[in-house]
Amino acid sequence: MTAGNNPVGKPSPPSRGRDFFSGGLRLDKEGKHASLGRVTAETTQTPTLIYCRCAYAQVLPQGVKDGVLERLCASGMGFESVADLCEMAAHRDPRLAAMAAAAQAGPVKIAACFPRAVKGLFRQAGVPLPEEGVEIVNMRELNADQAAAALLGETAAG
Amino acid sequence: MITHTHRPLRVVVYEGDGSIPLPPAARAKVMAALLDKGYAVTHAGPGGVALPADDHTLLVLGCFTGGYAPVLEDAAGAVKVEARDITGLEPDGVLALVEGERGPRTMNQPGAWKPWFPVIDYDRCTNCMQCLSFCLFDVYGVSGQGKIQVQNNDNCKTNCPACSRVCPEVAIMFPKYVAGPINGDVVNSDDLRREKMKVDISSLLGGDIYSRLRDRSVAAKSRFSKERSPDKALEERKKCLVKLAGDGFIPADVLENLPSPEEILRRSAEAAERAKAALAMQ
Repeated sequence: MTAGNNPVGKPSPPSRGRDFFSGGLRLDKEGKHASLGRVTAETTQTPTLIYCRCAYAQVLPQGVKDGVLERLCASGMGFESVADLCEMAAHRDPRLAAMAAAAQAGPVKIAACFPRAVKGLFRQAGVPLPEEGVEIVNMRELNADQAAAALLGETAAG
Repeated sequence: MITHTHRPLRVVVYEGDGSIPLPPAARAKVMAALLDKGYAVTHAGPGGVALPADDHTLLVLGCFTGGYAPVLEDAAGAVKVEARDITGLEPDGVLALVEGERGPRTMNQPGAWKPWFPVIDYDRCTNCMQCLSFCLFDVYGVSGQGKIQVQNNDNCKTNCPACSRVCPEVAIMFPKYVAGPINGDVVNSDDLRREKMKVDISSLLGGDIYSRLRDRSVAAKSRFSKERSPDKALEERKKCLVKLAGDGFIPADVLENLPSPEEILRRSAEAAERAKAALAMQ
């Protein structure tokens, strides 16, 4: 096996000599300490992009969700993706609270299904989304191009 | 039916400094493979932002320079961070690596389980309690403030959206349902008109409780008064359930596994009492 190796017992990579930050993952100078989040001032107006795969029920058209994921990946942008917001709501997954908190801190775009359902899921999980600053992109109604443009358009223009 | 399991790992596909970015197509395939198995995946690319780490293990994947994954620690010291090099791995190989890291911790498997439960649209809900009175499986309850809420979504019967059919305000959604407005689609005037007609059906279910609780029309009161006998109420409930099943709104297996008539009556009475108490608080 040439990859996927367990790093335990193997030498660490050389020091990178500076802080670097990429899509929310920050490593320190030695490349040893990691943190995630909206950590710099310049990221406060960058939308947090969240993609729901609807993996547990497949009600999103396969071509649309595949197409949106491909375009997100092709954009190179950092983004969050979850297997299924419904599954998370069913379990009161604390990550929903993190998403709602992110929406309080800055703009958030969520690619999922009907906005009424998505807002209801968050509210029912006890972590309602704010009225402002959240854009829900409906992959049940839009095609892949439209949904991807809605997710990435403002970011690309901004 | 909800199956509670461990929260899955959070996987980070890292493509910043010190790593070689995956080709976009490969990146999409890796992420799709992980998502389709139920994992949450963060793509840490050159732009964008990520949600903060939670209290779950963070598994950082990347094609790291030299083929060596760095030894990482959480800067806040709160989360276990593991890094793995995925250079040369196909999506299946990456998935196998992640599955190995997850170890014996259980996860719901997409395809084998469906998150099915009602979601209340509180912008539409009038707190009439018809859903509480209708559901035989104690999915609904009442908050301390007298508001209807979904309290036991574990009890909900997969693929059964029957309670949404008795809601006069189209306020109950099942996001995994195929058709609108139950799936959360916008409610239009035609939907509302159908729901107004639906009240006549739903009124059959609880016998006279609605007339007492909602003080509807004289005609409705007259109809309810004829249904005061428990036997009649039960018979009408059965008729309605069979109709809903015939319309495709209740799966046959749910209908076949309904409680005994005595149990239905007992639960109905309990639900009616709870609804009455909640409405009295308003």
